[in-house]
Amino acid sequence: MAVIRDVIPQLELFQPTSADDALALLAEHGSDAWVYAGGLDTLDWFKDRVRRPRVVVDLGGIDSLKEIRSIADGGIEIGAMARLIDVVEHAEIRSQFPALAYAARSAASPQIRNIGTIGGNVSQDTRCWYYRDGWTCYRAGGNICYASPPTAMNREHCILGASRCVAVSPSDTAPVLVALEAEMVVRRGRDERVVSAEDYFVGPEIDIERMTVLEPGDLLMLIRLPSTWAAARVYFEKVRDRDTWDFPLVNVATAIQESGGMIQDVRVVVNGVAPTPVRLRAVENAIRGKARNEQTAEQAGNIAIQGVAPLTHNGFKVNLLKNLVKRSIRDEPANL
Amino acid sequence: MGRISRRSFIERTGALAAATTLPTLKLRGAAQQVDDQPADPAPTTRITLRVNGETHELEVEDRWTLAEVLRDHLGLTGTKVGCDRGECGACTVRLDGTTVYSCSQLAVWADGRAVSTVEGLADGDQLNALQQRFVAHDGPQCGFCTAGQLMSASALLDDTPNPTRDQVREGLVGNICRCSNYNRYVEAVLDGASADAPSARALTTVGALTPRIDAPERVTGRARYTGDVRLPGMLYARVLRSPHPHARVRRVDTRPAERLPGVRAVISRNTCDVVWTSGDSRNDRFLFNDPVRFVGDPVAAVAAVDRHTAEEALEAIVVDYEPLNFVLDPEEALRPGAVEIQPGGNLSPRGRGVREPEVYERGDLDAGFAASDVVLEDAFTSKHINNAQLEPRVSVARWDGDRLTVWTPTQGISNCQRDLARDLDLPPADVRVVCEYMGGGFGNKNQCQDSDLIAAVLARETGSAVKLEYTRKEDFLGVHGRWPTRQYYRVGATRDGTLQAIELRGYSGLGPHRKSSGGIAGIELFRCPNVRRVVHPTYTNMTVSANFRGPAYPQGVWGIESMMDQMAHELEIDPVAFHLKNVSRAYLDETPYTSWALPECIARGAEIFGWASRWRRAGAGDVAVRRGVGMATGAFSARTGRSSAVLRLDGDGHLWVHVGVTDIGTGAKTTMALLAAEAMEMRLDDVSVVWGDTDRCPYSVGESGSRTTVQTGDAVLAAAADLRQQLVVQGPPRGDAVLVAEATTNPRIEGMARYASAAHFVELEVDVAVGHVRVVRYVAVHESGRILNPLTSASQVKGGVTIGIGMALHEELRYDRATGIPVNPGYYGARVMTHLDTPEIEVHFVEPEDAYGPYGAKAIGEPPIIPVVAAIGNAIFNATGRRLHELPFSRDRILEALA
Ligand SMILES: Cc1cc2nc3c(=O)[nH]c(=O)nc-3n(C[C@H](O)[C@H](O)[C@H](O)COP(=O)(O)OP(=O)(O)OC[C@H]3O[C@@H](n4cnc5c(N)ncnc54)[C@H](O)[C@@H]3O)c2cc1C
Ligand code: FES
Ligand code: FES
Repeated sequence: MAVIRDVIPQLELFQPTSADDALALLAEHGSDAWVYAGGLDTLDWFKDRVRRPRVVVDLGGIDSLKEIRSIADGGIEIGAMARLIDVVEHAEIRSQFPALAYAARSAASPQIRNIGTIGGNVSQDTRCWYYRDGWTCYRAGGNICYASPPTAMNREHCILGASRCVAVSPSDTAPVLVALEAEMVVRRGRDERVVSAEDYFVGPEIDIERMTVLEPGDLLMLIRLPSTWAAARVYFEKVRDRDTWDFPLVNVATAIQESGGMIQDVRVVVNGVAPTPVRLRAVENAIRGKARNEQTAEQAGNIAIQGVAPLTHNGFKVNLLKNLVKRSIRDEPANL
Repeated sequence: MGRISRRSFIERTGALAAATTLPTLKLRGAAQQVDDQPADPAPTTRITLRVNGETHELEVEDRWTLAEVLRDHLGLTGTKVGCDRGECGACTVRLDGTTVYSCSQLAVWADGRAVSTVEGLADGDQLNALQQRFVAHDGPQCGFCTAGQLMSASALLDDTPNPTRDQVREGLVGNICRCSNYNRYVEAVLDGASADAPSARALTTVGALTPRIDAPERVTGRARYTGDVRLPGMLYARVLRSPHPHARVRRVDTRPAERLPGVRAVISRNTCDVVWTSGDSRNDRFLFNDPVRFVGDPVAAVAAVDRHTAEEALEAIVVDYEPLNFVLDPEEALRPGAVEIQPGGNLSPRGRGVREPEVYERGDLDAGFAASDVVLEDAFTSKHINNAQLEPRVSVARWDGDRLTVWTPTQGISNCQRDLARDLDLPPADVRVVCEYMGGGFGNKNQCQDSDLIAAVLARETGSAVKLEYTRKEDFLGVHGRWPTRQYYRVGATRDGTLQAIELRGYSGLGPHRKSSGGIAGIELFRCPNVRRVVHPTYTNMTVSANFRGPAYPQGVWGIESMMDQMAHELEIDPVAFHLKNVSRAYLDETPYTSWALPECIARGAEIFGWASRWRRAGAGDVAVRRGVGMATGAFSARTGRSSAVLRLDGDGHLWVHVGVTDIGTGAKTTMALLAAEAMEMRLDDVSVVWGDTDRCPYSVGESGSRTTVQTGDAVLAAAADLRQQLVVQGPPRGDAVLVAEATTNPRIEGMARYASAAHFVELEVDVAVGHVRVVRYVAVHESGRILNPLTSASQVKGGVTIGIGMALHEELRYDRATGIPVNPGYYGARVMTHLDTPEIEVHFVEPEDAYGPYGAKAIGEPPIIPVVAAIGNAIFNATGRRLHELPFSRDRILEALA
């Protein structure tokens, strides 16, 4: 740990032009293979030499995975290899699901969005600095969490739902996808399975070494947004240190079906506070059927922080969580 | 199942064959003798790259990044690497028109695609319109981020020909400028009017708004920085560093590394006992120390045929450490029983052997407090932050017989030469130091660096030229940053707002070596009869601390100005009035200033800012977004001193100014040319500067302490006076004849102090629900004597203020206390300011007469950062009624304070 590395070790790159070929390669090489999308998370791991896969399967040549298209029921399918910038600029996404475009635009920097993919964004690894620096923690196959002791620097870690590991999910698009009830289409060999966005992300209590359901051999093919929440009021807000580049300290995506000022249905999802994006069901249940006003928002904020367990340096996230959930119900979405 | 071809769309490359196809190059690292190549060659792929319209067919290793191929294999070094991690933007190029980070992109990805780099912008020598605007608006300071800014700006303007200011900031936001010339870059893209005006006391050339004379080099990628130097047969070096904050090094086994093919030399404590004298002024700091005393302390270094092999060799070195206790906090380090970091204890000795804190006293402190109506006590903690100049440390060394040449980004070629000669036991004449261009430093490239020495030793061992590049993370851990402090104050005043007593007890963490003073400055800004300041510069096992822009000031001024702000608040006095009453009128209430305009800066600033109508007493209201205003002051020495210059007038009437400056981004070259042109009554175009090479330049003071303009400038003027005298006597030289004049000046100022000063005013908003601080308005009024070049001077102010805002709001190297390991080194972790975080900074100058310095000029590089943290802290207090006692004022601290 903390040894400084910065040069990519040897690797053998495969550049298939079809998903079938990619899946075949992944099947052949199993856990020796690494899926390479935009490479922005990937190259960090390689340069730090914390991960050294023998084989790298680059999805960049598979055009079918880059498509974004409307589907019959009114929803949209986004290929896993669509770049964040494609999501930001896509006219249909902007009109039907503006919060997703907004969230994608709030991620990282323009140059990263020009290459980084939505599939990579939801499949990227956590930013826990201990883990990324190669400390042999639980997530790296060890049996300790370096980030949770009182002496640790855990400003950016969990306040909710930790189980041994306190790393958080870093994605900005993830909470919106969960709020919009997106479906993740995953293939393994010839088998396709559809996983709800909510279940796509896995916490340490299920598997401490993974952030998503993806296992060696799996490929995320596309993300399907049903029309369910297309006309809804969807609020996204991200809080980060600088006005750009930074991962969320906390972000929130709240989708509300509203009628006559009343909340008919609602999904409240936050990220940056737990190992996965989390739906705040208690909040949803408490405010469903209520008027959307200051009082309801206040109540939502208070319920959101029930059961939080902050660490030495991240107590501020409790306030953030409360305030963001409150705002997400009370305020008008900013969007693009 | 058959094996799937590694390249299923190789045929795409054929489509481009119509363009100018060059023969395929077989490339490999630094490519030397075949027998020296790594045994197990990495897989390669043939690609076709169209770069700036020219087609190249290349065989590249699959793992090479696009930046690596452009820079190392196509020689297109205009594209810079600042972090290699997608965290800075220096490497931005366009791929089929879209901006990407070429460091975070495999080269094979660019196969068959069009790559545009900065080299493609100009048409021969003709700069394109955008480049011309970058020059005219003083875009590049050090210029290391410029290529990236240009590529992002070009892409933006292709899409949006008439962008708004916000669109420009959004469009360029993926490009960090650590010189923080963001305002200038935005201005250049908009090509809008700027607020700059010539000096109120302009002469003929001096005082005009003059673009840098070397800006065209910096906007075209032609400027050669140390990392761009590539010598025949050059090896690449890497350093193995300690993962422990304090440990004995029981054994270093380098043999497994030495046995790897392609490895040419491995050095460690076993074989190298060179002392790096400028790494520590009080103790012996070896290149490789035992014990190692901070995470990142060098343990061994390798030279190999390419970077990849060198990295592999590091992994093969076996080190056996015996971890020792460690201490991070300076106060803890002074407690009895704390582990001893240097022999003799953790309080850094004041002089040779004197282990006492630094004490300054005047008057009678007890009497002062007794006479006070109000006495306030408080404590402040500032953090270690990194200089984070965009160009990481890199050194190239080559021996020609017994003579050593080192290319290195240094703030002082003369000092660097002297230090290298001393440490390697060479006559100074046998050491040549070259620094053509450098990508900033802000104080951490002052001295000769260990990288210079390590490269030199490896070059001697191998008989080849050696390039040692530090990674961004290494630069954060292995060089130095600002020293952290804890400051305990007691301040007393009478009801009428007159200061009676100031006491400071301070601790500063030096890391395990004394590379600078560890001082805590700022008290001298105030007039007060009874003062006592005790500072304890202390060894700790944090990374080394030393100079960073305005070294002892920004944190010290934050402490004392917070106390003053609080005092004004308690006494219900407007802070401006309080300052006007109490700021210094004589240095330490004793020595007169050569000229002094701090009160005028305060008054002017208050007027421009509209202080009287904006200020109200702190803490009112509980609205969601709270506004507040704050102000603070600063001053910085502008003393005269020794430097040299040689002027040569040719028969064709061209003047050559030989000065040992390197121009870290301050515009030193331009300033020297301006001074020579003014003094010789010549056109600037007829003056050239010879700089950055100890073989061609006389001694110059290092570009630190904001001394270059004053000291080297004085030498230029003295040499010019001599030259003019010769002209009178001999007439102008004709044909091959030349006239030469040289001067070494060291003017003394008897019985007076010489200081530049500043007053800053800020208005900001605090969004209480999310802990966000947004600077709405920033007015900086500076007195730096006569302003020789208001364009570059205002850029210095804008940059200094912006770095200061980053220090106030974001930056901190955070440590894991259980292991002593810093967790967030690097650009992303440091959260340095970006285009979007940077407000417009309004700059104004007050220009009094001053009898010293060139045409009365004073320091301008360091003063701008000094008042910033204090002004922001005071404005946050004004907005929220809460005073924050620990830096940075990041969202966590704001939210906790307001909870
Ligand atoms: C400096 C920096 C700042 C950033 N800031 C933000 C931010 O503020 N918010 C934010 O949300 N993100 C941020 N990011 C993350 C960035 O958006 C992601 O790195 C990027 O989206 C990852 O996408 P990629 O296409 O580059 O994926 P890669 O790096 O190629 O892949 C990421 C991971 O996902 C896996 N993967 C990718 N695609 C698939 C697939 N189709 N099937 C199976 N596995 C797959 C890869 O194997 C890998 O493990 C930042 C990144 C950097 C470097
Ligand atoms: S060098 Fe590529 S982003 Fe910093
Ligand atoms: S000019 Fe931008 S980093 Fe120096």
